[in-house]
Amino acid sequence: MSVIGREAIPKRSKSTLKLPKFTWAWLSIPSLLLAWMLIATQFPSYILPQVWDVAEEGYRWFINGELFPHLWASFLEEVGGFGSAIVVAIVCGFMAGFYKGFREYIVPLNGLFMAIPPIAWAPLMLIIFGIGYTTIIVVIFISAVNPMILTIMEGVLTIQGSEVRAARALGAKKIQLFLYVYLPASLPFITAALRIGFSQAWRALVAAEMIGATQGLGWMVSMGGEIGNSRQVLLGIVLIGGVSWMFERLFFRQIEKRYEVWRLN
Amino acid sequence: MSNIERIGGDSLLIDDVHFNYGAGAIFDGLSIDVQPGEFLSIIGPSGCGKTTLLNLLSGFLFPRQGSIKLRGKPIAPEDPHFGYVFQHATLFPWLTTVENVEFGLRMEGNLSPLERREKATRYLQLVGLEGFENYLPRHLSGGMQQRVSLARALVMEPRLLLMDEPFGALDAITRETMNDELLRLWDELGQTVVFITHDIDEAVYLSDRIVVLHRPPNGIFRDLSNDLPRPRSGPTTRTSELFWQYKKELIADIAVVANTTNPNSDDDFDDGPSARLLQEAAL
Repeated sequence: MSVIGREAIPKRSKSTLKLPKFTWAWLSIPSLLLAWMLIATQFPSYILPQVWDVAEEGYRWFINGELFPHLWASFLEEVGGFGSAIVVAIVCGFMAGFYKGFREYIVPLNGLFMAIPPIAWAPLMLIIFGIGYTTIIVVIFISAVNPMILTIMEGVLTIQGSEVRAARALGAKKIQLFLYVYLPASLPFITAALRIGFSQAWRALVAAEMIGATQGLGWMVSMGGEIGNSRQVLLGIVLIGGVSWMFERLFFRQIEKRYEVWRLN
Repeated sequence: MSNIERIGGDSLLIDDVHFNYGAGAIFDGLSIDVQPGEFLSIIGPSGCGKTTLLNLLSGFLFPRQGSIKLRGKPIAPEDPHFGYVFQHATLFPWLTTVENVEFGLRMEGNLSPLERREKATRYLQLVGLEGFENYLPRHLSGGMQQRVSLARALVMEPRLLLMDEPFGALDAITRETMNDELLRLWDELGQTVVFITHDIDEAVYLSDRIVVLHRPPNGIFRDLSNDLPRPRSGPTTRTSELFWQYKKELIADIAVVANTTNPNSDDDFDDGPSARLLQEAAL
């Protein structure tokens, strides 16, 4: 038997339960809260409420059950708009990656739509669809689908011709090429597209709710502003940031990490 | 390695093949008759059509005229009648070593998952990678990756093996090891091999026969029968009188071929390998 480079064996680090090492990131959120508390001492509570005032407001919304319809509404809209954007972006993104003609056709459109802030569509959609889910879902869709198409398209374009050729030499037919080469090879950038699309959709959602909704987190913020309830405004902001941060950290980053393993140097 | 059966080789007949990209003819009636189980190396300057020839043999490209016959029958592009080893291992980075080797069997769909795994494992053993079944390609060194690539081609039991500068990207020491490995495998399995290289030493060490291609569309410059005795081994073969004689002849050939100006523009071709050949010719 021949000699093999044993040094190529990766060493698996033993996972032990230890406190994670200190990083300066530990200070970012506490320092922000501290600054908020200090600044809030200079203002009356009805203008800039203290951290604990907002926490108490949140507790009240939570206890009397008012919070959930809003969270639920925002969630449904995100699922509808972002979900349909995923389907369309995967189809269009792959087509744009495979077919030069379609790519040439769709790229200027993506660019044009991405140059328009999604919220600019809200008034028109309000006129067409009226207040409600449809308006918001359409606005979310427009904002999320375009960057996702571009991300997926560019990913498909980077799939190496050599991998495809190797698969063909091993007898892969057209459908097998798609299932066993293009699809797995594209998972890393489909994930990246999901992450980008989600954050775009979430921004558009909040903005659209502030203009054309009767519930949702965006509505909480704008309604709070209208009635002069700054606690409600801040609670809305915290929830908007928190939900998005949670999805980003706990969901998309984790999937992305999985696929990083594949990448060859 | 008693658990793998001899595969054997097919005869390959390249008969009066014409091929061109646009106006530039690459082959203008190329004919090579390869015996069953023969190890044929093809060398030549960059742009002489080495890779085009492999593409024709594998059915990725079609001759404009003439025919390519395997065991007397025209090759059918839709069924993989060959094993192909590329210059870079081109493993699928999302599959483990053993899954990479299984890929072709999976596409074929004749074996159960268990049989597939068992067969792929045997071929990994054959190329000396026992115990590395569950590694991802990126955890393997370049030489090991090329072994996997070899196993991935061999597991399909092809009676014709096409190799496109398979060890060109490896360092000199690993390349010599891989040369010995390849000879051992070929000796055991007995396929017909068409091996493309720009490394004269490698061509002389491995082959039964060496074809030097001329600038297109001139075809074959020299067809050299290599009488170095087998089995070959690094220290004896590489230092033998005959080895040096072949090497000298080939260096002279390459110098002539590389200095001949090409009637067709060869803008489409990179000049890496030919620059290397020229260096070698200058020694």
